[in-house]
Amino acid sequence: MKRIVFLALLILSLLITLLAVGCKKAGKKDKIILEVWDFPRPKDTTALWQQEVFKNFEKKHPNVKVEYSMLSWARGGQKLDVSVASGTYPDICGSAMKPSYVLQDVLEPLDEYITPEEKADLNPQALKACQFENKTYAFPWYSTIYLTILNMDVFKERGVAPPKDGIWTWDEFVEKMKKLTFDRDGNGTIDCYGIGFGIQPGTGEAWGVLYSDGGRFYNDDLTRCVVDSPEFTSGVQKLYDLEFKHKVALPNAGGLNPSGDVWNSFLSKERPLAATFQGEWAVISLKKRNEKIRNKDPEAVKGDWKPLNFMAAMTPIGKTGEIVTASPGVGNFVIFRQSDPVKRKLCIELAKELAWSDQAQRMNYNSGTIPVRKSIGNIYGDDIDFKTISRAFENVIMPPFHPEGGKMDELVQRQIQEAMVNQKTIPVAMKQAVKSVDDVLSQYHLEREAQTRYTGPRFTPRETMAAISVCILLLMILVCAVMLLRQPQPMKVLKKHYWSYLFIAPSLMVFTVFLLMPVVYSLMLAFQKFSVQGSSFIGLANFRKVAGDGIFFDYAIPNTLFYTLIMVPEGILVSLILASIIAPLSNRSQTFFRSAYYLPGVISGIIIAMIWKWIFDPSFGLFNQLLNAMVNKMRPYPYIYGPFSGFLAVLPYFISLAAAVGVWFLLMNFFKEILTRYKPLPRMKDYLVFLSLPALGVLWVAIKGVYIPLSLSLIPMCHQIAGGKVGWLTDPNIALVSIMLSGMLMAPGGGVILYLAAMGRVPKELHECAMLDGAGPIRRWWHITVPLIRPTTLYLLVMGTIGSFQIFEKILIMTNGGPGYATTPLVMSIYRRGFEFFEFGVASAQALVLFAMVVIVSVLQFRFLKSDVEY
Amino acid sequence: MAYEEDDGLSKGEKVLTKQSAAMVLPTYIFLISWGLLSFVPVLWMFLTAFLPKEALQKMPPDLNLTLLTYENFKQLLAFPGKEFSFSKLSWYGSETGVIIWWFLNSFFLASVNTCFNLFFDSLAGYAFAKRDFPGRTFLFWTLICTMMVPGQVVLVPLFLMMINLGLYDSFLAIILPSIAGVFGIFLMKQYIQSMPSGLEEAARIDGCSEFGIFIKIILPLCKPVLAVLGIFVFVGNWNNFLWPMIVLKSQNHYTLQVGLSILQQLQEHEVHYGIQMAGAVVAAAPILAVFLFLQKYFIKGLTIGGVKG
Repeated sequence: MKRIVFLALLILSLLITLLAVGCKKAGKKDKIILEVWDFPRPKDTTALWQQEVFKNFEKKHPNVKVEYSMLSWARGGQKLDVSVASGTYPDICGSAMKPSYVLQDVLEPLDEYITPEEKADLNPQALKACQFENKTYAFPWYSTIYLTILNMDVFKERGVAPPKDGIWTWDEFVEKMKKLTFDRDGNGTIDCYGIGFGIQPGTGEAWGVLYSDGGRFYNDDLTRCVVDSPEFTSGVQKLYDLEFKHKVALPNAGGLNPSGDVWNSFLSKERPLAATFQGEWAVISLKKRNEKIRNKDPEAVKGDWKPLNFMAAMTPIGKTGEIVTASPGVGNFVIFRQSDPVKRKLCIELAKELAWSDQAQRMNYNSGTIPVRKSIGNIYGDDIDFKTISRAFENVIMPPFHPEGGKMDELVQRQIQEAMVNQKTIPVAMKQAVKSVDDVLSQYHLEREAQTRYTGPRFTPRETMAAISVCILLLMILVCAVMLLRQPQPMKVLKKHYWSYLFIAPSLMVFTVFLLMPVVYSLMLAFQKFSVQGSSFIGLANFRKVAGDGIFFDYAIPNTLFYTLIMVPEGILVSLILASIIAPLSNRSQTFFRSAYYLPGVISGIIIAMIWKWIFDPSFGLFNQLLNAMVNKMRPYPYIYGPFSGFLAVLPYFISLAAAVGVWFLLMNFFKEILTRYKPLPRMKDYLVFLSLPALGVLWVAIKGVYIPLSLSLIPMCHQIAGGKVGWLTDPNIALVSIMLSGMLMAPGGGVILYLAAMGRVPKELHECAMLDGAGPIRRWWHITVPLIRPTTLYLLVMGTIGSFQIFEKILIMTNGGPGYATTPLVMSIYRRGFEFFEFGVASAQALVLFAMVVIVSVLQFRFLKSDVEY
Repeated sequence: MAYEEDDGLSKGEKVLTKQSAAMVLPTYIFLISWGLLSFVPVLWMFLTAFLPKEALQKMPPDLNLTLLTYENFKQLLAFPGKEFSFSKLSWYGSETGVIIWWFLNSFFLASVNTCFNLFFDSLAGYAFAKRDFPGRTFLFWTLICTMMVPGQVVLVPLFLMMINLGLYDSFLAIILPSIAGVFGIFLMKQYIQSMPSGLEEAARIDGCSEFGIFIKIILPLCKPVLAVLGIFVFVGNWNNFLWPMIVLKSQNHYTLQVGLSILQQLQEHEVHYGIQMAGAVVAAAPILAVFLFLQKYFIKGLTIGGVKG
């Protein structure tokens, strides 16, 4: 026994030492550490060169250590936002020039460190993109723009002439695209589309078209959003027409990721696209690809790559009659606030090296970007495509520069998505976009004003937390005192039981500090305007914001309810059925199936979600490939294909009707339970309940909450299945159901195991009695097994509901809430408010709404389904 | 409630509902095919991880088994550098082989949390099960009710708290909030309650201290349920994603799950599923192995926690 104790203590102490080592920051104290963050650069060239620069810099300054961290393109920006909001930012960061950082006063103004010679050498457009309110906050490194990339092989195949010098008007463009959209093998489906593009928040590939009729995002002084102007609306209309009127665009443009899905299609060997809107990086990427093919690079040989002749062209000229080019912005290096002047000087030296040295500028060749220093000249030599690029660069419109830019971009782009997927008409969508953006803008101005005028008390997080902990401590002491004093002999009780209190103290302490305190803090945050410098109390404003939040009420809550209403009953039903089938089997097979069904459940949800995303991939995913193969096999035989598509046409109605009836039946039983709990009804009235007013309400929930959304997604899904290609996660009508499908196809292992255990405990005497009375297996199952395992059903119901109210990670990985807001659940809306927009107050208010929902539903379920049956 | 009963599940049912041979075959076929169906994603993960990128971009995918390669793992190991070599392996410079550190971080965090959880949960569970101190019921039900608080409610305040405690980007921020768990306390209480009190009474009469009773008598008797709890806590922590993602900043401190999410988009314009799935295999393999060896305990844990006694 002593040995075990000794061993346990040994392990514990070992772990604590490890912990201390693990948490210790490495690096010697006497060295100046420069923390550099950057997004991933081309792997074999620029990234290596950067490491070289750091090494040389360390050699040159022996007392300096450069610590480099790579951000990811997908989540890097957000990570940076979090670190800025929490005051834990790096020293130098690549491509981090954001006005919101300027407002938070975390960036060093750099004007005094730029010599006039350097300034004269820079491209003024690029420098301007690094300025806010006439101060420079970053060293520009490269410029980027969006172009139209043409697949010349398809142009040749259809005998269409490319635009001369890459310049074309909109009408010419549409004309050519129509010719380029065709059915290559004559099987009735279109194999090649003219143009591929996608709309997604944070991307801007198609924005050249949106700008082309003179539309803009803001008015000139950035005080109003003008995306509802006729000029801009006609730009959106153009994109819409490409897909729906001229039918020349890759379908589901509203849900596609421009540089992912669209680009993959463009590269695909089947040549399904004649042209695509892309960033200028595409030019160099294609060039390198062709080079690799020519040099018989193993990657190209293995992948069986085919050379792709391409050409870069401008965005088609719109009603303004001028070339308009959109741009994602300027690559740059910023320096975050430094208190130590020596370190600041070092940072500036390093950042300049990274951005402006001749080598740095030449590195642009690897990514196909445009150097910002004029003296570097043409790094691309005599190449027609780069002539087009520099020509396009003359008319570039840099993205709007506003502290709330990211948020407003998201609001507008999601609305354009909604319009593109036929959820709304364009004017309505744009009006709504303007309304929400103007709200943000006026809020921003009001808050900026209020922040300067506000003189009331401010509480930093530290002060708030100190206050809360004092309050909780006092309260706990009070409760303990009252409880003790109520005992007849307090001291004696304490003496007898102090061990028990000591035993539970560590756990209670953890829960108090890391659960109770945050909950109370969250309650307070909901009434505050949060700011790191000091929060002010603003009453119910956050809740008003939640109440006025269209996304929260139109998408987050309905999506969550829909998901719960379908998934929870489905999970319980399937586990009940599976368990009932497994229960009579031999012990060994029971063990086998229990393990087999539970196995996928131990793998983390995010991995499962990643796999499903891959399975749902529009072009390379397992599902679409299988479907495509199947449908293509079937098509030549109309007597197979006809019934197949006919079956698919009626299937959605059956499924959604069945689901709605099922949900209605369940809810009605629940409701009947409530009524009969207190006053048993005579048998007749038992059925009359189904006709009462609340029953109509339940019916309404079943129709509105289940039947309509389910059939709305199943109809297009089945339609697309018949076509051989489904936009599982890219079509907003289908996406949520696809996510649910991924959950349904996995057997509910936990539920099966619990039901099996519960069924094993049902006394066999009951079954024997029933058998003597002549009851068959199904009757016994329904009248004995199902009622007796009710506690397990209740447990699964409550846990399932809580779990599905909190669904998040899976959706974050699979769709990130899109397209539009089609798959945004409650928790994602909280997460976005909190960790993407940094409105902790509103996020807390939303979280409280979620909490209230969870509590109400669980209490209801517990109260009315709790079984009185004891056996 | 004692869990021993659960082993010989449904004997009664079996005797009563013996099925005819004609029914057995379809039953097995149905059950096995459903099992396979839910296994498809896992199989697909393994397949994708071991196939070259090019084979998967073909239509239909080239599932020729001669193509199997560990190229994806090589690239994964080399991340973020160009080539993997042990000499370049470093925690802070992150030149190459970061995935190894992610793996170790995950392992370290999961094991530390498991140790703490086992100790503190059984301590509290023992007190709640065997000691009749004033306020016991109230405190126990308060604990059970905290299970209802959605994690997202405390996300923001906890994050602010960690920043102010100076624990941002530190492992302590992950360890501290989860050194004890409600589920664990509940599990331990249920189990200890079902044990006879005779031994501890005897020890108490012999003059053993309360802590001594816990260490010398209760803990050794709890070994089976400790194994169950340990596995559950370990797997839960290993799979933990959201909180580490928020509270860890530097790439070297990432856990495997967080690291995998950044692997989602390594290059700006390319999604490399092969590398992603290779990472997924690395993250899932240890857990799958643990499950296959200890599945008995998993299932026991579920039934102890899931059915209230």
